[in-house]
Amino acid sequence: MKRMFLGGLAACGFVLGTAAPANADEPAPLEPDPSEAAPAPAPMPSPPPDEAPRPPPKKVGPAVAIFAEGGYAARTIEALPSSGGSGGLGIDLQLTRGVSTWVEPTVFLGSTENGLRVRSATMGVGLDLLPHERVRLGLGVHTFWLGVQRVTHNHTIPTWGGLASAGARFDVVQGDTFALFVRAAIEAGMEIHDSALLWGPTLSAGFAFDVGTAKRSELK
Amino acid sequence: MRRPPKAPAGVVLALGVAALLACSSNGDKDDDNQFREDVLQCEEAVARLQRCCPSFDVGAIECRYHYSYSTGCGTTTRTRSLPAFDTSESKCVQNTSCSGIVSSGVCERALDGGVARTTIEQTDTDEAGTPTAPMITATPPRGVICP
Repeated sequence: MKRMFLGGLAACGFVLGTAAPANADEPAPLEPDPSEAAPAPAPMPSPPPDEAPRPPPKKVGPAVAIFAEGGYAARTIEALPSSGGSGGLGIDLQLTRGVSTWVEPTVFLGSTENGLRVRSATMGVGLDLLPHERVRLGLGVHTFWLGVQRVTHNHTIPTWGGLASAGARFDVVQGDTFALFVRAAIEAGMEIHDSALLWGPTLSAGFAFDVGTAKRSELK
Repeated sequence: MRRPPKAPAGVVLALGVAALLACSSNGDKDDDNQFREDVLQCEEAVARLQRCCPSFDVGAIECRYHYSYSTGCGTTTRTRSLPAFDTSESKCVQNTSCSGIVSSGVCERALDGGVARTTIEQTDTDEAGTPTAPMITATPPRGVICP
């Protein structure tokens, strides 16, 4: 009986000894209660004080330019060829690095081979594609008025109609806000009275300068 | 002796307008468009004659076109005026040298044949409504101006 009592005491001491923490001063850790919710995630670390918050991206509007050009044009209507000077003053809106749109009124002052005076005015709008920053390939549609001055008496024979054009422009000199360019185009259309074909080429040189705040270099 | 009363001016005017409306119809046509190849080529030919022929009177040449058609009160009238030079004559003048124009007498023939070529065709209908033979009045034919 005495041996059994001493053995039990030893067993109890062994059990209590192994269950005790390594540091007897620290309280025993509590086992987590599985019914409690998961702890909240740690907050995002704040950025280092030397990096300022980025401003929202600036919306870039179209680059606006005014352009003027002048040169030589030939026009044939009712199988009657004429040639002379042509000029225009327009506004260009470059929407992206590769696309631009324009509006341009033009005038043509010419004469036939035997001196009949031919006058024409057009109003056109068009779209240019820019495969390169110095090259533009464009298409346009125009309304025209044309008059042929009679020689038998002092009277002009008028007509009007619609034209389509295709052209190419090359910027010979290009600065940050201006360009000097050369342009070649061909126009063809029909007049309203006799359904006669009007057509002819134009070769011109001109300059364009940017107005407004949008910069072409910022266009996407 | 008393004078017969005069009809009021307004009544006379109204009767005239009524007569005009009664003798016109919605089928009337009128074409005065001058933007045509034959008109423009004629003007170009006259410009060449002005350069080549000494003291050439350009006002004597009629490069004009007109067409009208009217019907009413039993009469149908069709009028057509064409430029003095047709397209082939005009191009011949343009393509001939000044020395050739002068030496071949084109300047004189052009002045002689400078009036517009006009044809007026008038057709009446008899009491039964049958059209009669048309009466045609035309500019006298002329010889070729060029060559």
